Amino acid sequence: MYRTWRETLVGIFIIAGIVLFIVLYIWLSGRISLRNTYDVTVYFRDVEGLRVGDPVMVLGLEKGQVKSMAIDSVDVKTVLAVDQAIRLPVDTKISIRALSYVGADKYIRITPGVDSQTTTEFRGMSEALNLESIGSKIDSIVQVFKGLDVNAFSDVAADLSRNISKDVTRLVDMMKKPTTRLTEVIDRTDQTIAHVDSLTMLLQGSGTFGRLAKSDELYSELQETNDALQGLLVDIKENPGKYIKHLNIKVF
Amino acid sequence: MNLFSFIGDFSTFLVRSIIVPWKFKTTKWRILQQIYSIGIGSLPIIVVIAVFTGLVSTVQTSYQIIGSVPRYIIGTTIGRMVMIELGPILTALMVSGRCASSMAAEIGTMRVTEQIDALETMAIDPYRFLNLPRIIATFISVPILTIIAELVALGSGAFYANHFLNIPFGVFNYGLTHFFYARDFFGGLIKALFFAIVIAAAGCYFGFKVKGGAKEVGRAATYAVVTSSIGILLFDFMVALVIFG
Repeated sequence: MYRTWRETLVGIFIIAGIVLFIVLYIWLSGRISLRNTYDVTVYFRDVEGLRVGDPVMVLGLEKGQVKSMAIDSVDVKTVLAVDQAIRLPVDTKISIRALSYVGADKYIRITPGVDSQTTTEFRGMSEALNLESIGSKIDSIVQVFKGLDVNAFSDVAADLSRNISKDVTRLVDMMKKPTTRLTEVIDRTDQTIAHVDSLTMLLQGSGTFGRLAKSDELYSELQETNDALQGLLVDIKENPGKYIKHLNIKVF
Repeated sequence: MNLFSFIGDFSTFLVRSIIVPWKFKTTKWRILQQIYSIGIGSLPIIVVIAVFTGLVSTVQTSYQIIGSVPRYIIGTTIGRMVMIELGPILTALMVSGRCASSMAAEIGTMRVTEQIDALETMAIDPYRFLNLPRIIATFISVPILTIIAELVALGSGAFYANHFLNIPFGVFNYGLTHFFYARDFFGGLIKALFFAIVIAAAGCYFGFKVKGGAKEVGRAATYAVVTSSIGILLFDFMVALVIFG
């Protein structure tokens, strides 16, 4: 009994060790996933260091991971395990992005489209920042600059500087003439304004003109006088004898 | 005995202990007994050690790198530390302290009380009867204990990260699994196999070579622990050099 019990315990210990070994390996290698997923195939020209297990982000949320990658003629056939709830329309955009500017970590970015039809096969593109390619481009630019004659550049710069200097001098001269004439016009305008001011003061002041200009009584009297004169003239025209019968004009 | 003759004698002893007719039918029970003693007997202390290994490594890692790197790196760092180094080394040192001394004391006592001579008189090979079961049992137990220790240490590390560092289990798990290399995992287990042989061989060797009385038995136990500990660190370096160097 004792022996059987110990044998059983040892058996459990060894089997537990083997099971834990398998569980630990599967867990650490990222094969354990509680997600209910389906496969989406994407063809890339170049995966630029993407690895199995890299995250798949749908609208910024992690919704799957890279399941497998294999070269398929000229493309890399990449299979993504995407959450069952995510449906991808045919106009969905799939790209490889870099998690950071300095790190080599990549992820798959999915921007779902709006089409009513869905599919599981896409063509993806790489939008990851590739420092190596940028470096090589900078190198080629540097090579182009190295091939240029710096002395030729300095001559061109000197000519350009001289021409600009001449043009600026001419521009300043041209601007000086209108300025003189403009000063004359301004002087004259000042004089005119002074005259207008004195006239205004004359009209508004306490002198005769001022009082005449500002008196309402005078205005009404003048108006009445004018009306009376007009009536008189009309009457003279209609009845000239009335005014001329008493008038004896003798020439001789 | 100088160092070279010791290494020669030790190696000969190890080869002699393994290259014997195994007679599995009769040895089986003795192997099971030793697995019970070394494997199941060491399980509680290994679990305790592993829990604290996970906690301490998470605290130390977060103290050193949090804020300057993404949080999932904590999972990556702890995973690799535990798999490559801490899991196998701490397990082996604990088994060495607990079992190598016990083996040396047990076999040493049998030597001084002439029980080993009695076995030889009865035509029972003491190497097969005493050493082989211990070596096989240690060879089986230490990797299993290492796996358990790794699992527990990672679990306690994830627990601490989740509850005290605000690193969700998903983030910790991402760091742990995303940068997982099978070489790290298997490299740690290969180390554990080498450590197991060193522990068992040292325990049996120093017990077998005892001459004298109780004092020498105690000294043999001490030598067994010291030698196996040094051997563990030596093999740790050598295996690391071959696998990760």
